[in-house]
Amino acid sequence: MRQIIRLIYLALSLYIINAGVVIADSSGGFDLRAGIGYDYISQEYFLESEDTYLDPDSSLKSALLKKDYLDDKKGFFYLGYSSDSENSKNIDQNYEIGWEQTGELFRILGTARIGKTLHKSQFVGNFRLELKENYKGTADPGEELVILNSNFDYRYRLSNMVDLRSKIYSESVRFDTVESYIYNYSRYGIELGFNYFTPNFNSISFNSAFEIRDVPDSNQLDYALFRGNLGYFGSVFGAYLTADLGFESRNYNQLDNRENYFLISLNADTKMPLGENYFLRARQNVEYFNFSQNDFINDDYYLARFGLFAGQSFGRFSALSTFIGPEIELLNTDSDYSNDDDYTEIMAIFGLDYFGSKGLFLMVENKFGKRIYRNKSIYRSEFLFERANIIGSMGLFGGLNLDILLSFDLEFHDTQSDNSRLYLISGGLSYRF
Amino acid sequence: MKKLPKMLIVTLVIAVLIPSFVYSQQQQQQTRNRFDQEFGITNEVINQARNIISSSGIDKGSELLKLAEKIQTQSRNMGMGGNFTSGIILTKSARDKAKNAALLNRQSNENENLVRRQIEKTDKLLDRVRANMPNDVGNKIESLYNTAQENQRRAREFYHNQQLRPALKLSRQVENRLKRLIERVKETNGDQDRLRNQIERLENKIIRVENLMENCGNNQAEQILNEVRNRFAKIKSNQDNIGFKAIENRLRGMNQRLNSAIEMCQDNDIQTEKLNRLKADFDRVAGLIRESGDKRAQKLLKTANKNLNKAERFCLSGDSEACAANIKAAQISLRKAKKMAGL
Repeated sequence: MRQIIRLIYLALSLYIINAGVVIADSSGGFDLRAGIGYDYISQEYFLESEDTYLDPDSSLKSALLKKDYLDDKKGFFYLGYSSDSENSKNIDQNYEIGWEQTGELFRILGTARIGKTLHKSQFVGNFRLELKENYKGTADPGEELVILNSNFDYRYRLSNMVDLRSKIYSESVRFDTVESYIYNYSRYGIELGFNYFTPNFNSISFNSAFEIRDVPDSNQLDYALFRGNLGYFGSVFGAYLTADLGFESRNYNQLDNRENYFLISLNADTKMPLGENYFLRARQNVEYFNFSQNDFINDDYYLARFGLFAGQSFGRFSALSTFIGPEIELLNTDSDYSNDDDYTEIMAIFGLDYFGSKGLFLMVENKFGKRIYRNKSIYRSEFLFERANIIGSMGLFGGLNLDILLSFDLEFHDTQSDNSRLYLISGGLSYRF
Repeated sequence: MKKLPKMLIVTLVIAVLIPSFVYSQQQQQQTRNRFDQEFGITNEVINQARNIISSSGIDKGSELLKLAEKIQTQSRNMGMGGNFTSGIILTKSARDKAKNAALLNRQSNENENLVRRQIEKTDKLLDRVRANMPNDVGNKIESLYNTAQENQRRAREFYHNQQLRPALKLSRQVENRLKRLIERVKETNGDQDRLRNQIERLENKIIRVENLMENCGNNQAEQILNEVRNRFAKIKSNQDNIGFKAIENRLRGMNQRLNSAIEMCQDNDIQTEKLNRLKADFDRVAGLIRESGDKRAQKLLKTANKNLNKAERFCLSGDSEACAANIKAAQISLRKAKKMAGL
């Protein structure tokens, strides 16, 4: 691993020197971005483990614990190259390589995209490399890894109405240390599908995929997967509808079909314009999960979610959009052992999107609601929750950009010792040359 | 005589003691039976918990199970010493602990499964978004996508480090964000492939209608075509300043206008054919009707001729209804004229 890192470091240095020359010339397609960032993820919760049962008088039983999962300041720079997209004779190329470093770790990231369109055919290849290493002290298991992703996509325009698609992909993950949760694996798959454009400009798509996973250290974690998707995007009776029906079946290499499952899902999103600026949106998600073997660990379940929102758009191209409305989520387990987990969640959601023209965007979502367990259980307590997400990006001046991400998830349980709070703060200041 | 009271007392004592003794023996036996029953149930629960923990591959709950087994051993000792009541209390305590051990392990395992499924679900969504995102999507959307990808990477790292709760929460957040991102991309940039397809198809349709117009001879249809051509040219040159939804609505509107122009031309074609056939028939029988000498037939012939001329004018000007009415009138007049002339 260290030899590879040295080679990459050398290549990166040469790349940067070369890029520096080309930038000076200002006729190439190089792009340099550098900056600093901060990541913080923390959770507060009461201890829940066998310790409380082992020693009922333990003072730990009622202590609120705080655990910081991430508290890193980091520096990064990325260098990218894009070919001239105006010249259709060229092969489209996009490359990027980056270096990120915190107080203990560094990460090397590289992406490449190569594409070519020939008459009715389009070829695209994508590659991604990630390398993470601890340079200070001893690395924890799972901390050091290499990930390599690749896919080749081919599309063929059969007619004005029909596009055919195919893709082969692979992923390989290797850790420096392996353990029960941390295992090397490789995935390989193939996808086939088509898009059909209807006479009144709507589209229907179909995709199917077959994938296998190979885990060298454990046969039981190998699987073969088959999935299919049927999608629709277009207008229906004046409203815009996006719908997706999916099916997935996974077979593990385990005795008695343990862990094998099939999953059916249906997602639909309907947006009905009401006048020029107002709209009504309905969201439905339904999922059915069925394990081949019913045991104490794997329960079949139905999950359904329904939401209805009213909203308003403002400004040119609906730059600002807000919505508000209720949503309900129901989980129903189909278990031979226990139905403690069945719940109903009722919440109110408020959302705001702003996509300004001067490099400012903001996405806000807030959910407030209650989870009710339908079958009273001593192991579960009902709770109120407050979940908020704020993502923003702002161009300051020149190429300087500020990115922020704030998120928190608070649970207020009937049984106080089940309360928990999760916070996530992430920010970055970068400059694009 | 003195012996009698003594014997009575002894007999009374024995009479009281024996039933008490028997009763207490029965009670003890019942307690013993109950102890055996409770002890047996607890053994089953402990065995079940042991199976769950060993088959899950996760150690969670094993310490609690060991405690349960220790307490069960103490309970057995109590039973062997005849202290069944204490034995029952202990065995029930052991059973509770064994149940909790199984539950802890199950929660841990199902959390692990749940987290793994959530991470895989979000990974699939990331792949889908990436595959459907156009190259020129813009820095903002690209930045949002990169943030989502980075947080998903963190979620996976938490999962690998057995930090399941932050892994689950983070991955779910990424999933929600990606869904919002898909909505936003479709609304602002739209589905670029679809839009390009719509523009191309409308362009081809305009060419088709232009070809149709050469033989159509319908002025109204031609006006529609010119109007659509101008609007289409404006949209193409001004695409960047019009929102995706507005473009799509305008394209749909133009498509419908072209459809009506095509219908007009098709109607025109049918009527023109009818008119031509009628004219040919008229030319064939006109001379014969004039020669027949039947004045009524000749008058009807003139009427048919007038209607034919009117029909021609109306068809050329695009008034299909008036054209059709005059063709019908001409047909009736000509048929009657032929009958009267004996043809």
